[in-house]
Order: sequence, then structure tokens, then C-alpha cells
Amino acid sequence: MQMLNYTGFNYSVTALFWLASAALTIGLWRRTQLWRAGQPAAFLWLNLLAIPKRYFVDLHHVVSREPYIARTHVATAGGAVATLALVAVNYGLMMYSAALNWAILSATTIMLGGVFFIWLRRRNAPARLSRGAWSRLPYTLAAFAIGLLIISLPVPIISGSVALLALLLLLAGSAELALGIGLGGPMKHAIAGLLHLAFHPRQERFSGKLSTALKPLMLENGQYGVSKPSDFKWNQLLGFDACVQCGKCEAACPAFAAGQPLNPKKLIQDLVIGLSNDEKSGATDASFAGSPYPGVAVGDHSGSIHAPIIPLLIPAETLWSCTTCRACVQECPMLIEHVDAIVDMRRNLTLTQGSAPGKAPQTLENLRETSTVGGYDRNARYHWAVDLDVKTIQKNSPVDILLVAGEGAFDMRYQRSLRALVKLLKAANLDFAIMGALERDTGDTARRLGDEATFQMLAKQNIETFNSLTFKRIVTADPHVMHSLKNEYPAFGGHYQVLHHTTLLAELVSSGQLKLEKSTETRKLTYHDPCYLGRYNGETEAPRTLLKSIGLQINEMERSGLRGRCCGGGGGAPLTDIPGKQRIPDIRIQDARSIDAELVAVACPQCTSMLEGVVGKRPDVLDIAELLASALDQNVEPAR
Amino acid sequence: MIIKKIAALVSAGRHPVSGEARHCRNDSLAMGIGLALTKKINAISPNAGSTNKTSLRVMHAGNPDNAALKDYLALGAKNIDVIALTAECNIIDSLANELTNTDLILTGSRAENGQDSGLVPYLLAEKLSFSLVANALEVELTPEGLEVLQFLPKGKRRSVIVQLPAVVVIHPLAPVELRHAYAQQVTGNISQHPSLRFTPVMDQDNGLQWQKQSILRKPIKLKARENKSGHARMLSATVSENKGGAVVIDGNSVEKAQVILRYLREHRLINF
Repeated sequence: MQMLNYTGFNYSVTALFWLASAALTIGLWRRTQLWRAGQPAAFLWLNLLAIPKRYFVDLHHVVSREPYIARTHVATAGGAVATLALVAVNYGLMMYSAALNWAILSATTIMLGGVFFIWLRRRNAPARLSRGAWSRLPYTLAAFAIGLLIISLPVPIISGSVALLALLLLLAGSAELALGIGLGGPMKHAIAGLLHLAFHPRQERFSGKLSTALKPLMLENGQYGVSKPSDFKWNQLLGFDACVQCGKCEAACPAFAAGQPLNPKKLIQDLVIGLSNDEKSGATDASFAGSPYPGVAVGDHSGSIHAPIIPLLIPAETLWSCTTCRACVQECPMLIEHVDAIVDMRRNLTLTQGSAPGKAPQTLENLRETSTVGGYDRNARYHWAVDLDVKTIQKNSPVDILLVAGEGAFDMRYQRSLRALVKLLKAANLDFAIMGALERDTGDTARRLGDEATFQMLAKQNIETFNSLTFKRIVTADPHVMHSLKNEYPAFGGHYQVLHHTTLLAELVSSGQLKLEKSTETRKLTYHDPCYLGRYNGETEAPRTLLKSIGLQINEMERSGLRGRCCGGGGGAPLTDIPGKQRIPDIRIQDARSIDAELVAVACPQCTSMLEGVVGKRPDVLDIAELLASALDQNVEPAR
Repeated sequence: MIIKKIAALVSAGRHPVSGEARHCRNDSLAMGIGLALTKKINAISPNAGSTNKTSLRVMHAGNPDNAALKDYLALGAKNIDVIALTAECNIIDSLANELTNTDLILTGSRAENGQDSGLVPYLLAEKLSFSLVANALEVELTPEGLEVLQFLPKGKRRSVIVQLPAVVVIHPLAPVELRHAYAQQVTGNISQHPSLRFTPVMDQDNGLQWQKQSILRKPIKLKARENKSGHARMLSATVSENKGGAVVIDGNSVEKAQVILRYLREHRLINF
């Protein structure tokens, strides 16, 4: 009699397993239908096989920056996957083997251990974590683990009530795992996250390369960016769905810190609302249980798959607050591409409505009409070099290095840095020339502001100019220029070897071509990483090597290198100028003050002007080229 | 008051620094006011048939291939009617011929280029015997007529009512938000106007005989050079503090003049 009960109990677990599997399959199918509402994108089914490597290497590389949660997740997810696999064999295939039960017992114990630490952290959770359904997760996962634990105990369950309890717990847990995925619960991150690894829109990220260039729009095909959620590529929608609301993006976002109405996590969640609802459901963002966009109430916005995103679902100011610094992308454990999404939506606003705020329209007009950001005369770009006896590049006269100054050349402050750079290049006896009146803006600002038409126009004109000249390498002191020329022009047929001036100088110093003495600088120094040099181009070492080579010791700020904090100058953010509680450069200078730095070394004209614009007592701001030029060996080369 | 046909006249501009062809901003403002007015009137009676709808006609007299015209498309013109004329032609007769049945003609007030004299609205109003209002900032249709808010110096404004048909010349400071959208530039259309039934009149005052000379240097205001650093300038702009200088109240006129002289000599603005 008891034996029969026990068998009946096993059968009910089997039934539950297959029921849950069916629910999961249906839910998964529903979810895929949501993603498929997006635009077509090229993908390889074969990449499904790459998921384990991408999970354990690329994703884990990001997660392990926070060891506590990394270990907790390994225990919980590893335990859960092992448990599910074992249950599938033992109960799904009706083997009911005692040995497998032992294995289930140990797997659930590991999972339960992980869940315990998740629960522990949830009790005193950092503000960046979302609550709501995510607070429920430790309990439902614990229910699942405990339910299975009881079932797999080696002693036969005699008492009917204990068996019932175990089944009920298992039912609750299975509901979270099986139903939750189809209904958009927290556990959907497991499936969407793994599929996102396979079908990620930037596949290059998994081959160890940086992939930071924006994808070109086919303007001639009427592609004007994203106005409704269904305008995103399907794999972008899949990526948004993978979000675990850990809020690491929120913690890294300079605009959020400055109190501007942007929170990358909320942005992605708003897009999830958009992608997972149709017109009839009238879904609002009221159920969002994390930090709101600063200064914007939660619950007032609603969206659906075919409804315009701006301003019904996301306020326009949210998009225009972004500095495109990619700090959110750098931090995201699910490898979501926030900046691409923001630029896609900006593109639609700019190209179809022309509604970029602040000084942005004037800037775009300047770029169209004068090929400069500030509306300057292109002939005046190299006025600062008039007394330096520098060659201007001519057609049919080859040079080794073409120096592209960028928009900073019109700024009297940055001209000092450029003069210092020229002095160094001359000291190293390089064959170089400036671009003179031939230089047009690279269009970087236009592109970040969503004006793909102006960017493409400038890119094509510049490529035509470059192709008519003969040079080996392009050197620039502006990381934004570098990013455009090096990473974004290839899509339009312009393939050049582009170096940042710090990279070139480091090369010259290490080869002994540029001889420098020890610097006389005694002030406490720190180095501010430009986003477009660090995160966009991976160059964090050359500036540091250079500073060390002239005997300067670098005191690192709280956030530096690839995780450096933005100066607030990128992405056209100083032009759109969305109000916040404080300014981003003030926050960055506060970082420098808090380590008592008296001197901030920079390597970008935007950073220079943003950080120098901070009022009150602050550290001095000097470009690395200026620091190096002051350490030039005066006896070797008379610097003119 | 009923208004059926509105026309906005647009000219080809040039960027003052680069010389690139572009829209004339003031004309764009006139067009923007026309677009907003048309939209507003049609919104009041949305059920009117297509023949009863108020329409805005954007017109240009000149070269139909001028790159500047694309800007007007991007700024919201669905279609630009171009009367193709060469530089020697008098545009007034051609425009007057096309605009006879128009209720309201909107133009900018300042020309940027070539023979554009800024007199077009006046000559046109004279030719067509239309009323003319200059320096318009805002235009609104009322039962009594067209209400125009005029710009006057020193922040003053004047509201006038004008009977149609009329030419309204828009002031450069009219509060119109211009939005340049590439998608509109692509979908917009430039059409050469087919109904040009007469030969263009040659301009008697042939512009080709004009002589060009560079502008005279403007007098420079004597100002002491500031030797402050950028940071100090930023501080004095953001922190309210004494900006320097002295207010001389005591003493007779000779003594006061001496103070000024001393200042000028000190800063080497005079050398005697």
C-alpha cells in the first residue's frame, strides 16, 4: 500500500515535470513571437553552439567583477540547471533511480545555498537593484529547491501532508521557472540571456575585439532609425528582454548621477514594456520597481509594440541626456547595447522630426553648411600652426603622418595642446603634415545626435579627400576623430591606420626616437581616461606609460581605465544640455579632488574643455602632450 | 474672414563664412509661419473638402537646381514651385503673374545674396495692389481680418489688423522654431512651374554691370586688453564680484577728464 503511494507520488512529479515543460514550451513560443515582431537581422543558427563559451568566458568576465554575486549565481544557476537535467532524466523519463535521487539531492542543496546568499543580499540590497518581481525570486527559487529536496530524500515519504507540501512547493517553484518565462517574469532572463549570447547584434564582441562603431543606416532605403519598438532589429529586442535589472548600468551612468532624466536600466525596461505589449493591453510603466528617470514620475508612460516610443513611452529628454560614454555597456553583465538603442531612437527624432533640443540644431546646420561644428571658416582651422613651420599636405607629395586636428583646433585652449604636440613630433624628426583647409569635420557629433545624413555626407567627402592624398598613418589628438576615422569610416570604404597621439608618442618614446627628460612637475597628478579612447578604442596604457616615462606618478581616481567616468562632453550632450541637479564634469573633478589631485592629465579636447569649465577651486587640467613637451630635452632639439 | 490661398516666397541664401548654398533664414521663418497658419486653419474645419482646404504654396523665382532649395524641403515644404529665371530677369512680373489670386503672401525681410534687394515684397504689393505689413512677428486669422503683431524697437510690439489680400513681411526675430528633417527633404518635391505663359522680362537695371567692392572696415571700439586667464574670466562671468574700474563723481570736468586720460594712457590706447 505504501509502495503504491510512493509510486503514485513519483508519477505526480513526472506529470508535473511534463506539465511544466509544456508550459515552458508554450511560453517560449509566445516570447519568440514577441521578438519576431522586430526587423530582420542576419544571424547564424550555428552560434547556438557558441553559447557555453560565450557564457563562461565573455559574460562571466563581466559578472566576476562583483565576486559575491558571481559565486552566488554560479551556485544557484549551476545547481538549478543540474537539478533540472537530473529531474528530466529521473522523473521525466520515469527512471526513479535512487542514485539519481542522490544527485538531485546534492544539486538542490547547492542551489539552495546560492538562493540563501541571494536572499541575504536582498535583505540589504543596493539601490540599483530592482525590487518588485525580483524580490519574489529568492522565495520561489527556494520553494523549488526545498520541494525537490524533500522529494529526493532517501527516506520514503510516508506522511501524505509532507508529500503534499513538497508538491505544492515544487508547483510554486515550477510556476516561476516555467510560466514565468512565458509571462515575462524575472526568470525569462535565463532563456533570453542565453539566446542573446548566440544572436547578439555585435558578434565581434565575442572574438575578443572591441565593437563600438555604430551601424550605418541605409538612408536610400528609407531607414530613419527607430520610432516604435517593432522598428528595432529582432535581436535587439531579444537583448532588451535579457535584462536582469541589476542596475550596474544605472550605477555607472554619468547622466543618472548628475540627476538628468536618464536611467539606462529603466530605458531598457521601458523598451521591454513596448516589445511585450500590444495596443489593446494599454500597459504602463507603473510596475517598474527600480530607480526612476531622475525627476520623471513612474506610471505616466505607456507603450506597445507598434506605438511611437517618444514621448508616450520614453521622454525625449531621456535620450538627449546620454553622453554615449558606453559605461552602461561596459558594465552590463547581459551584454546589452544601450547606446545603440539610444542612437537608433535619436536618429528617428533627428531625421524625421528635426527635434534635437538646445544648440544641437544649430550645430547640425553648421556641419552641413561649413563642415565645422562651430560654423567656422575651414581655412582658419590651422591658424595656430602658422608660426610653427609645419608642412601642409599637398596632393602628390607623400608624407608619413597626417595630423588631423579636429574641431579642437578652433578652441584657443586646445591650440596650446596641439602646439605642444607639433613640438614633440618635430623633436622626434617625423615626416608629418597638417591637413589645412582640406579638413572637414568627421561628423562624429552629427552621428551621435542621430543625424546620419549629415554624417554620411561628411564621411564621403572626407574619404574622397583622404583618398586623394598620400600618407601612411593618420594621427589625431581627438579620440572622437580617431573613433570616427578608425572604426566608422571603414563601413563607407575608408580604411586608414589611425593613431591617437598618445599611442604614437608612446611608440616614439619606447623606440628612443623621442628623447624626454624627467618632468619638473611636482604636483599630485591623476589621469582622466577619455571614453572614446578607453572604452571605444581600448587604449588605456599608452597615456600611462608616457606619464611614467617622464617620471610622473599617476594617482588613479575611483573610476579609471575602461571603467572611467565620463567628462560629460560626448554624444552631443553639451549641446542638447538637458538640465540635471549637477553637471557631469563637476562630478568628475570631485573624483579628482577626493584623491587630492592638483593636476589632471587629459588626452581629449572635449575632456579638456569640460573639465576646465568647472568653476571654483579645482585641479589644473593639462594635456599629456603639454606635459611631455615641457619635459623635452632642450639640448637635443631646438624646439621652435 | 476666409483665407484660401497662402503663398510663401523663398530665396536662395548663402552661408556668410563658407559660401555654401543654404536657405535664407528669414524666408524660412516666413514659410514656417505659413505652415503653422495653414495647419491651424485646416484644424478648425477638418471636414472641409480638399477644394475648400487652405493651401500653402512655397514659391521661388530663380534657378530650380539651386541646392539651397533642398533646405526648404527639409524645413517642411512639401512642394516648391519654381519659376525658372536667369539672373538677368526681373522676378516681380513673373511672381505677380503667378500670385494674382493669392489671399496672403508671406516673405522674409532681408535678402542675402546677389540682386536680392529686400524690395520684392514692396514691389509685389504695389504691382498687385495688395496691402503690406512689414516687421511681422506673429500672424493670426480673426473674424475682422488678419491680425499681425509688429516688431517695434526696444521690445515694443504693435498689433494691427489688415484686410486681405495682403503681403506680410516677416521680421528676422519672429518666434518660429525651425526643424530641419532629412526625411522631409527626401520626400519633398521641387517642381518647375508649368503655367508660365509669357516671356520673362529682362531687368532694365542689369545686375551684371554692378561693381563689387569689399566692405569697409568698421571702426574698432577702444577697449583695454584683459590679461586675465581663461579660468579667471570664467570666474568673473559666473561669480558676481567687482569687475574693476572706478566711478568718479567728485571734482570738476578737467579733473574727470584727467582720470579718463590716465586710464587710456595706462592701457596704451592713446599715445600722447
